[in-house]
Amino acid sequence: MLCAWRKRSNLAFLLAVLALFVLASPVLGGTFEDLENEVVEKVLPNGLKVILLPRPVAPVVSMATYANVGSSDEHTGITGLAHIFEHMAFKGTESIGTKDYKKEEEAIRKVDQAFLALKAERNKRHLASPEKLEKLEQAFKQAQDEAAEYVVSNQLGEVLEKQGAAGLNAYTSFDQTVYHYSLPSNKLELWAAVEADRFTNPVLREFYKETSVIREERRMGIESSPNGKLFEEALAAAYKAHPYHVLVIGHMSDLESITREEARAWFRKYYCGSNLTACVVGDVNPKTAMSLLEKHLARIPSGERPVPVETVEPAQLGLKRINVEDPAQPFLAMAYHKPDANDPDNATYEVITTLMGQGRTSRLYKRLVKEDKLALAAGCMSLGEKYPGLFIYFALPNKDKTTAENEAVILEEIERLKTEPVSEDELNGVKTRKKAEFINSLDSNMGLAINLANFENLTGSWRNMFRQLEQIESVAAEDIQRVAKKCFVKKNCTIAEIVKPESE
Amino acid sequence: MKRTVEMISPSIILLLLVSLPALALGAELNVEKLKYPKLNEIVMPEVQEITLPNGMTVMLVEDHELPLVKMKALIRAGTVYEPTGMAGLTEMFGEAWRTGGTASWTGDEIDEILESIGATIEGGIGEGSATLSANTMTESFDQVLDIFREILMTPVFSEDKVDLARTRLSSIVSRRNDEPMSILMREYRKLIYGPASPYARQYEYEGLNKLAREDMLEFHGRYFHPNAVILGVWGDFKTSDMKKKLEQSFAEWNSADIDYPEVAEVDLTLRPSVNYAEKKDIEQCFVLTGHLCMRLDDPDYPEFYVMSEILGGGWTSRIFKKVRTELGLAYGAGGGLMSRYDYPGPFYTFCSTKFASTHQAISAMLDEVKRIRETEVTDAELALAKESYLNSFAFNFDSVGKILSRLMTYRYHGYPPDFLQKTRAAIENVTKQDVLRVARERLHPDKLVILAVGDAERFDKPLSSFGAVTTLDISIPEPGEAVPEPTEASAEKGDEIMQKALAAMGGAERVLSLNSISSVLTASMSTPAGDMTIDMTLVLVYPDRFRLDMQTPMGAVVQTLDGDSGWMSTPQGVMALQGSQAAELKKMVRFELFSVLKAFVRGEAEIQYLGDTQLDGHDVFELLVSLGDDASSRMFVDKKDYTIVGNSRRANTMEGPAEITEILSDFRDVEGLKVSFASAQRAGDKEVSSSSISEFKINPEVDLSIFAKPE
Repeated sequence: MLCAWRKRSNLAFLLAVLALFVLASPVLGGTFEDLENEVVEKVLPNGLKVILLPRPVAPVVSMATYANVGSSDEHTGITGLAHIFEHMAFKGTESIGTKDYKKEEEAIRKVDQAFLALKAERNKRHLASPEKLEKLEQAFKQAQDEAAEYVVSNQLGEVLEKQGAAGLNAYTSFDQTVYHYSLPSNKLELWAAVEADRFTNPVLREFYKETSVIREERRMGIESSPNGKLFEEALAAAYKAHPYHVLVIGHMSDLESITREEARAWFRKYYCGSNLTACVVGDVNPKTAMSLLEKHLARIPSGERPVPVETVEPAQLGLKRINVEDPAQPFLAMAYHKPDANDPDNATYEVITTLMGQGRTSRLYKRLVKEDKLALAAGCMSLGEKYPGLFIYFALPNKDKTTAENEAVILEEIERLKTEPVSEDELNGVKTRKKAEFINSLDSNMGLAINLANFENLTGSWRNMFRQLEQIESVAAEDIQRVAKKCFVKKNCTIAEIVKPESE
Repeated sequence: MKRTVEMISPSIILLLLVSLPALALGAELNVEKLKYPKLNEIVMPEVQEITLPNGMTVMLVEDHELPLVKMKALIRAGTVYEPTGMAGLTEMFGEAWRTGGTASWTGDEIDEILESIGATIEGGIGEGSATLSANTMTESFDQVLDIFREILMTPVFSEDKVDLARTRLSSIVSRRNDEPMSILMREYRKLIYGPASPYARQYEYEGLNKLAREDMLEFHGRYFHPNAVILGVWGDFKTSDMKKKLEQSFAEWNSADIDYPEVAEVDLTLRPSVNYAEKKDIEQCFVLTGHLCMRLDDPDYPEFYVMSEILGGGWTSRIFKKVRTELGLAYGAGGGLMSRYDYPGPFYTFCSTKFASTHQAISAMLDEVKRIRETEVTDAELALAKESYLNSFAFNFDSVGKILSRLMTYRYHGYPPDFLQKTRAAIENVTKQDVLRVARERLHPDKLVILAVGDAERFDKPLSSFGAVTTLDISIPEPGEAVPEPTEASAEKGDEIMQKALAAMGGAERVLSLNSISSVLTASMSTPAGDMTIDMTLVLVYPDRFRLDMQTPMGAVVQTLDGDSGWMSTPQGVMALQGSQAAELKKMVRFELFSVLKAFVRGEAEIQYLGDTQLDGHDVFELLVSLGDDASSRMFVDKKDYTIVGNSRRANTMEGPAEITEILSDFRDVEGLKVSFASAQRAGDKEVSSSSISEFKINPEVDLSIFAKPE
């Protein structure tokens, strides 16, 4: 949620935008038994699962709290709420961030009332009285100013950063909300105590200022970015029923109307022990660390694990085409519906991703970038893991080249995937690259913590992180042909592109 | 949020009660009371440093945690050494270096080999150095080293991959205005370092078209020698084996004397300005404010670091708290030093906010910059900034790659190996007084360079409330439009021709005595509605007031420039010119013939001789006239008598950007000045209008109120 500002090249910036839409994709597992045996796990009485991996490389430790809730748990009217709550979890607790919680609580209640009154008048739309609106806005502002008197601004961040917290941040995706940072390893208890407090007694203070910040986040990431606009339209077209229909950030009008009470209800429903996983990787003694974590994290209230999304996206009935008019250079995305991460064919989709779209020998790079010189960059990626998601091919056409030319080559390459079996050499190359990618991923405490939590929640066990290489290993050339024939068909496809505005 | 006790199981309550010394009753958390064990010691990996007989520096660290070996070479061959007039060379080199193949393998073969073993080698050239990096599983190291060595020593830059690099870089140029952040970063660097600086230089289609494979081979031959290389290798190997391997591998690479061109020092003179780049298709204004500041080895750096953390670093900074948390105006807001080892970086503040709060957000940031210079920071702020730094120090050592890369960087830039530890020691000693002193001495809120990218029509208040606004031209020049960089010879000859032209047009004294002109003229132009003849009167008061009254078939039309702003009056009413329209008009006035001559006399115009050419049957010298801040035009001087017979300039017309050429004729003497009474204008190759003057006055009395916008 914090925006770090740094120097980026043009291309890196474009691709960074794309990366926003790529969820942490599961990496492969293999025969890393030693490492696997180091992992310690425990389910606390409140249902919260702790996963610990000692890695004494340096005296530091990384922690990730994984909440099994994402934007796909939202519905019309409260889009963006999962992400709003994520922001609110940095606002402090009854003991952190306040000068006098009793008085503050009262003041916040008045802010809530003032907002509801204002909202009621706004909802009259054309019939709303301008004078009344002005008065209510005044009252709302005054109530906020009064509540601000009790706030110790950003104290939660201060408490942590003072002790050396690094990379304090969080992210929300379709499928999960993850809170993460690292500490010098002797401060692990600080994390446990603060984490327990913020998921037991969070105070959603400065709520309406923060939704204003989030509206700016939307303006920055989506409305000021051609690719952001494109992906919002592409998702809306690809899904008609399932909540993957809406970007994580949500609709602007919902960001203006969601109330603090709705965010509190969200917290009560989704932030119970049984819906949370805490992952710790770094220089810790598993025994002492586990008891320390249990002492604090067991405070988090238990509760029932919420019901997953029951809406199923019906089969698509024909090709969908989307244009986004923008003066930017063209961009092409071709999205096919694919199954969720637990589908038996998931590993095959992973292999196809690497084969087609990752690295200098991938088929799209070879054809579009190197040989035909049609694209500055081209590749593919997956979106959505918990529920059936999208497999997306994309290309950034070179200067004076068109999306149509790129689309034609991508379709040719898809056809090849269906008709020609992949050679043994090429398939082995892909598997070797996957193995290298996996080994490299073991180099980071935070990467490991987030991956373990992902596998635990999305596949049922963190152990599957170590099983992935075997699954990749078992993918055969026939699997690729079979899956391609099933998935990459016109009827299952949404094509979205950036085109020049009509008037120009 | 109140939770009832019933929701927590009894065993947990027991647990809480017995083992919560750190927590007060009622589940109140007091983190200050937590007691922490001693931090395990940071174990520094052993770095072996050797110099090979050929002068290559090698730094090695064993690390057996994972079956991987990584390599990184730093080569003293940065953009700073790019020859003048060859912007884009190092970028193209970086693209084609690895893909263009070597003596033994084509680039495509290298792709196949590396990907079949799951290894990567990638290279590129930055401002100060070239870098080549590799990552491989232990078992494939020897194979990767062979390829790595050849890419370093014998890249061949095959023609097809140079072409591919050109195509790709041209596409990057074509996309450079798509995202506001990339406009902001690029234009800001140009503003503070100057557009020709190696730290801001921008490549264009035209330059890319001229670069050839030979240029890359020459650059390689000149700078890529072992004595210019620092090679770091870390990972799963035995140091003694690795030493032998590297010695053998690079045995045939001989050292050489390298003649490095002098790199001009960054001019630290602060030149405040307010700048605007128009981008209407977005929903936020992206803003940078700041000024050139310091290098990392500046004696004030530790104090400045603490000050800038308090002001703009991260969650807890004043700017973040004010602009984001308190006012809710931005998602990203902050500031600090863009730290550089080898040249001064700027101090900056940044935010992006909806257009309707642009002025408010900039003001809020600037207020914080001013405030930190007025009074001492609080004890709590100082403690937070220092303790955050000291407590997170261990993260500087959490990977072998990070540690070795840092040591290589220090060595490359001539910093002491314990620079980090020294900085830490200095930061420990920073006081509130130091913070105030450094803020007062090194921050200059009255000398800021401000840049806003967005849609000025939707701002809450005009940017001009921060100072006179310069509108930047960020349009992408098509090939043939790029401005070449001057050389000593071209500048000297340009100056000489211009001196003669000045004499031919009336001489320095006469030109300087010119305060205003007015003329009555008739113009014919072709329009979509057919050919049209219009009577006009024109008044120009130097340097920046201009009014054109036109009698069109639709009625009277007036176009006026009054300093930085302008207005237009038509039968439909009076309206202010948009920022970009006013800027376009101002440019036109600045490039009026006598305006240019005045600028030349005053030494404000830079002239370059571009070559001999023909214009409308005349043999002419082609000169490039640059008036600073990126504005330039071409001027054509008759070879026979040095009359200025034409000019040509890229301008935004109703149909988009075009090269507008004006051909002057019918020269007459008016009170000692040589004035053209007839002219023709072309857009590209097409003649679009012509005009003839019936009356021309020098220094007429002008009532300045005619330039003011009617209420």
